Amino acid sequence: MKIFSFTLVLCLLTLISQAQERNIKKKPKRPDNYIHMYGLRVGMDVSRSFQHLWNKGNRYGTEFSFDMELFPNFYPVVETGWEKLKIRQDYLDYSSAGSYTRIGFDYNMLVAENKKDRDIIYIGLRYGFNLANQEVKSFHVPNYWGDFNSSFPRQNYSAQWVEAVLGIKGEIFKNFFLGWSVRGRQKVGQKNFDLPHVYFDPGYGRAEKNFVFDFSYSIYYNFAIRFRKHKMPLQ
Amino acid sequence: MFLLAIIVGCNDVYDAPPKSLMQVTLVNDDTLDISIPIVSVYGVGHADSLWIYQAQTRSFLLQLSTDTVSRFVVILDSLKNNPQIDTLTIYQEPQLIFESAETGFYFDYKIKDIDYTHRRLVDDEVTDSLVTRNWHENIQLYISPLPANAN
Repeated sequence: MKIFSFTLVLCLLTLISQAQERNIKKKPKRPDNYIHMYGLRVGMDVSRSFQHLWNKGNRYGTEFSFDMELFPNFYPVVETGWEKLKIRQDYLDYSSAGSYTRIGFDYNMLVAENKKDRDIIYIGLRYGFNLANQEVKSFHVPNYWGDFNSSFPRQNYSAQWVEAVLGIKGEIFKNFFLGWSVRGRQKVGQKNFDLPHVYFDPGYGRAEKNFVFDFSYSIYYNFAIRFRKHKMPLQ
Repeated sequence: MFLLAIIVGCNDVYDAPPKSLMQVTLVNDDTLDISIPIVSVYGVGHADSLWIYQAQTRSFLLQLSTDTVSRFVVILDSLKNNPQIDTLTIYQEPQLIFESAETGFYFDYKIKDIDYTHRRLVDDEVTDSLVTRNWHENIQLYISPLPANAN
């Protein structure tokens, strides 16, 4: 009976995979299978400076991104930045700061209307890592018998995560782009401490959460430099 | 713009750190029923700062010190002429816990031993030696009933 079930499942899987293969074959090839953007696009995430508006504490930073269309509709991306979080309240004076880098790619899902159309709607994947430090300059535990006051020196740590991105980039003037993205981050590694445990990961967010959402709003400039040897018309 | 103004205008609000308190239940040593005396408690050396003042209760919460010993003066059914005063000593192992950067640090405790004088306190039972932020019964104190002629 087990052999029969196993054979049946195998047959079903084979049928499904054949059907999917046929569906894939039916999909028409993209008409915009050419390089839309030449050179390097450099961006700055302007939302990083205003994060204190929607996060607790004083969180701010700077982030730059670099991407280029290596293959038609395929954009390798490097994002790198620096972030700091300071929380000063009645019971604690905490700070964390560090730099981070994300490496990955974006794939443009929007079919260009013409050769001048460089707007993109993209999905992407990233691998991110940071190098950071945290410090508890002072803390205070209220107690009936007498308050307890102490501090923790600077501790260095790092974390890694993977990130899924969905966003748009639109060309508002020649070579100037504006864009936003939403991001889901899944932590894959964290150097941690017994006390105090890491509270904030630059480039990621709240360290105690294994999955976080974030968004970005960036401005970009495309340095339209020809890297390729073969001649293609510059947009 | 209005929403933005609200966001900008809002100040961060932080909670105080949680407190791990030891819960004591009082049991009548004669009947083994829950006893409900009038309770006053303060720390030894903190007579000017009463932790509990004349509360009629079957159980009460005590905050342990961040050191390894906490000594309390426990007054049960305070009598005008003959106050029944006991000293309750808790030997504990405090453990510092980091809740978060928003709330701060607090202490959990492990009760190592209990000692007391025997005016009204007769016996004890540690029901859970871990004193945590989730308050629950940690010790039962068996108390002798008041004499019949007590006023």
